[in-house]
Amino acid sequence: MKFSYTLLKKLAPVIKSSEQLMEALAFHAFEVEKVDGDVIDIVIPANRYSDAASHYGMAVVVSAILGKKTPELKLPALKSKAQSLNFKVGIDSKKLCPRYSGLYAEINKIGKSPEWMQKILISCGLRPINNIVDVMNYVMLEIGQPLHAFDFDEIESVKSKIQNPKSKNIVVRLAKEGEKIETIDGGKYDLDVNDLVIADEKGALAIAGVKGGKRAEVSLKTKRIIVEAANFDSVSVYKTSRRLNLFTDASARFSHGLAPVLVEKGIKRAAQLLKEVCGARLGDWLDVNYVKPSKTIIKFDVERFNKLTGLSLSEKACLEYLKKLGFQARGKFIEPPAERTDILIFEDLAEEIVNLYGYDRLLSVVPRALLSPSGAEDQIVLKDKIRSILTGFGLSEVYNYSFIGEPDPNLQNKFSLVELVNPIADDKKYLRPSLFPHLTRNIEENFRFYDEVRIFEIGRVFAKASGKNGIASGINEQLSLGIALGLKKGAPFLELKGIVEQMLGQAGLVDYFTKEDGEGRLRLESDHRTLGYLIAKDNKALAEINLDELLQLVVGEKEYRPLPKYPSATRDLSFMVDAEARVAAIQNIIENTSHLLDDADLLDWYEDPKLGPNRKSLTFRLVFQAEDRTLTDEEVDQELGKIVASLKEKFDVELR
Amino acid sequence: MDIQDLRHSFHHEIKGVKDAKTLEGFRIKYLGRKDGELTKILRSLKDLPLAKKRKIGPAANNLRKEIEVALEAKLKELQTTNYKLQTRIDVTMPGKKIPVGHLHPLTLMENRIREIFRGLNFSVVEGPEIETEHYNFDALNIPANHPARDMWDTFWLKLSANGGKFAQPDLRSKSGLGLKTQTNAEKIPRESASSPRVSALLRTHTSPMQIRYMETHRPPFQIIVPGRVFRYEATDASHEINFHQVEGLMVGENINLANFKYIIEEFFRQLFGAGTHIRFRPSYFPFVEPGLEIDILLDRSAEERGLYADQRGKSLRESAWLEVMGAGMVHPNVFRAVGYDSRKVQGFAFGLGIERLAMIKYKIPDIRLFYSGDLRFINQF
Repeated sequence: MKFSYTLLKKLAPVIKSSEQLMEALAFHAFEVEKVDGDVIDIVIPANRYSDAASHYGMAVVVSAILGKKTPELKLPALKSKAQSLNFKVGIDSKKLCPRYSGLYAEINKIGKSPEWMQKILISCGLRPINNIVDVMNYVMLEIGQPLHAFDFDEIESVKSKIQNPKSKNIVVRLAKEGEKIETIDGGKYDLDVNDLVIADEKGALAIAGVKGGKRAEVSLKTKRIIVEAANFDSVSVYKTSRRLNLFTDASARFSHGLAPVLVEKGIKRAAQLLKEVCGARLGDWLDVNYVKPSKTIIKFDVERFNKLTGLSLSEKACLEYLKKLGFQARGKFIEPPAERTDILIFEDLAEEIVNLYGYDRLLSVVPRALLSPSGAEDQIVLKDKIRSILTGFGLSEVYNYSFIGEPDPNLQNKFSLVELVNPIADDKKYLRPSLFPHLTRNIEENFRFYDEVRIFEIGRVFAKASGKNGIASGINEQLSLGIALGLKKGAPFLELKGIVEQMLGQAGLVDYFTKEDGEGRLRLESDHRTLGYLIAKDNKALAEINLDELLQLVVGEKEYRPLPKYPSATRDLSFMVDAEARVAAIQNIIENTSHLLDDADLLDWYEDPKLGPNRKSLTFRLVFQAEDRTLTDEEVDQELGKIVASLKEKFDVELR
Repeated sequence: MDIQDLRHSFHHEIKGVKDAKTLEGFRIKYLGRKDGELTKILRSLKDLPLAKKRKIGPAANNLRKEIEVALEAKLKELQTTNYKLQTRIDVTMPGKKIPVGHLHPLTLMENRIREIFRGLNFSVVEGPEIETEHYNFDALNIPANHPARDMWDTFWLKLSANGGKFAQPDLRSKSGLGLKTQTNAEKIPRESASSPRVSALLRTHTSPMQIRYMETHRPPFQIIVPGRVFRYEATDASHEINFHQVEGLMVGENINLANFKYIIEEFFRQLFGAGTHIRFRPSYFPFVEPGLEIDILLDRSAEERGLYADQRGKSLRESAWLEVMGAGMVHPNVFRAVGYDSRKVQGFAFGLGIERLAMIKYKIPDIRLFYSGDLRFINQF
């Protein structure tokens, strides 16, 4: 929010320079975004609009920081009335308008506002209009209370000279269905029955707390005005302002919440300035529906303060700080100024004191806490392990967006996609259901610079929960591991499969199997659960593994197995078989026929027209081993014979 | 050729053999089953008269043994020589390129942060990326229908047509350290106080885990929560729609602001070096009171600082300070939301951006590089 250095210095003469002001604020109150000539841009926290979004409020804060007491605000001694001969105000929605003040004034001269006022308005980003409107805006900047001036002669009951003693000149009510308003800047808005308006007999004159209407706008012809200073319900203004997408200085202030006490300060200051600047003759000030809010009284306990902050200040010192900010202290009982709607509990007082005392004077103290072991969740440990295994295999880690655009219709189940209500772009409409789409793109993009790409990603993927199995409908969030290999020349699927197998082994998954699941696709299963998929796609190969599932299945412990005492015997078995025969099935037979077989590895495979149509050649290296003796050649040959026989039973095997 | 000649020519020729392959050919030449020179002699023995047989026979057999021994010795010698030959290579040649995998810089930064906090006795937990208004806002004392909530621009999720009600979770049975990641959004969310129907959103900060953790654990404890968060905002060199934070929370009977200062100074000095300066400034976050922000000043040259300064028109001296963290003492309303007695416990919470720290540490100028998947970038780390 923009402030004028000139006005701040006028209200808080203790300020010596803008550097001093900036430093004071930054280390004891608020962040200062920018200083540019007379303009100082200060970040007002969302809970401080009631007191600090005004030059006077800011002067109070700055003075307290610089060690001075709150400067007095000199306001005229006006008295409000409950009834007036000049005009009448009625409030239909008392809850949404806890205070409404109107001040009647007759204007002597309308025209430009004085230069000093214009300068301050400009510094604060406002455009000078005429002396009436400028006074309204200036008071808002100085006091923090938004004001609005209606041209009294444009109010319907005045204009048409309706002489109904019961009729009100101004009514605060909810808008009627279908009601419309044209604002002073020419904007046209359709109102909703939840929008609060200021109205006359004809219709809405202003959107309460947001913007004034065209109809009773102050113009150069204006002779008589009603100054409005009111307090509106912050939620109501916030909702209306958002729904209409109409954000003004006033709506920002009301949305954050203002103290009703500002209303009288605003009226008094406006009265003073209207006299001074517009030569106004003041009429009655009506103050309606105002119930003074109960005082906030907080007990201040200095021991509790020191326990919370780790400081060791005296009670006297603490109370001094609070008094500088205008807080009243009766013994230990503290009453904040009425504008300080943010001060509700003891901790709020503590913050005020710490801020003024200064964090630079806070010592750092080693915590005294019970020693309890620290740890990391199992899932985090598993992620670390996988990262270290995969980088050990030469894969690099990527991070991708959690969002995707329209998915490939062939690959995704569109119905389970989680869709955003407010996507930021077309290619980010859904939450990613899988790590595949981005990993595939990563490979293609890296092909511009690399012939071989080996990457992985660990991240959350999302799907709508099915609603079956008694689970209430919702969204399923799952931790996923994606591995992707790409070779400009070649097919990396078997390398990928090897990486996955080695990784699972090292991660501690002992019992799993893979199942062919369509062309170029392998399903990874363990304990009757699908753990993930491996996919071969031209010169790319991708795998995705559910780490939530994997975590349930890994066995951390390893156990020693005695080393073989007797030598093993090795035989290479080469044969031709039908090209469609699955190696996994063949290997399965080999491994499950002889109890003396220790290991079987596919040594070599190839397909060649010379082998005959639809034939492929496989060579396995078989290692035989007995725990209790050295195997003889005869025994080994016999076992080999059994294996060959079993193979021939199932496959068209031709030994080479 | 007689035996003596054969012996001579064998010993002469074997000297010239330079490798195992030639040696094998050499063996065949003398001992080959078909046409080996010595084999021929041995084979011809049966056609010789007895006296000659007796004379040549043992001599030929001796020669065979001699040749076999010599061949074996030569083979060993060749193997050793070859090994020696290899060591004679040009050692100034480049080493073989060993394929190396690289961790993402954000992982490296997260690991380092975790390592430092583990050293300070903090445990590491994670939480769900999909949240409800209750955990992301209401329980954190961020009022509904108030501009304070606009500090966090939020992505909202469409729920299935048959309503958006989540089942009530049972999170109160934990054993041991009680460290179990809660990732399944459907198990956890509750009805939000501010809206009758639960609305799902992408968490805008890691702070909801303050609530989730406190709901299921009793103090004293100290945790950090690394994780991905989301903001609905335009991207530029320093803003992303998804990024990573680390939340910190330490709660006990007497954990105070001065303790926070100790922990956080220790953290930044371990992360950026002992010469790092740290300062606190007042700030506002609804879930802490008092609330503050932390700036650091690195022990770098002024020139370097200028490069990574905030672009807010501050003077160079000012802009050398980097905003790195928001923090404060946990607000009593937050303790109330999880059923703690705020008169009996107190503590601090903080949040930092991993991207921000990685950008400072590794001098990365644009946050979008982290999500580019570009190996030219990642393989630098």
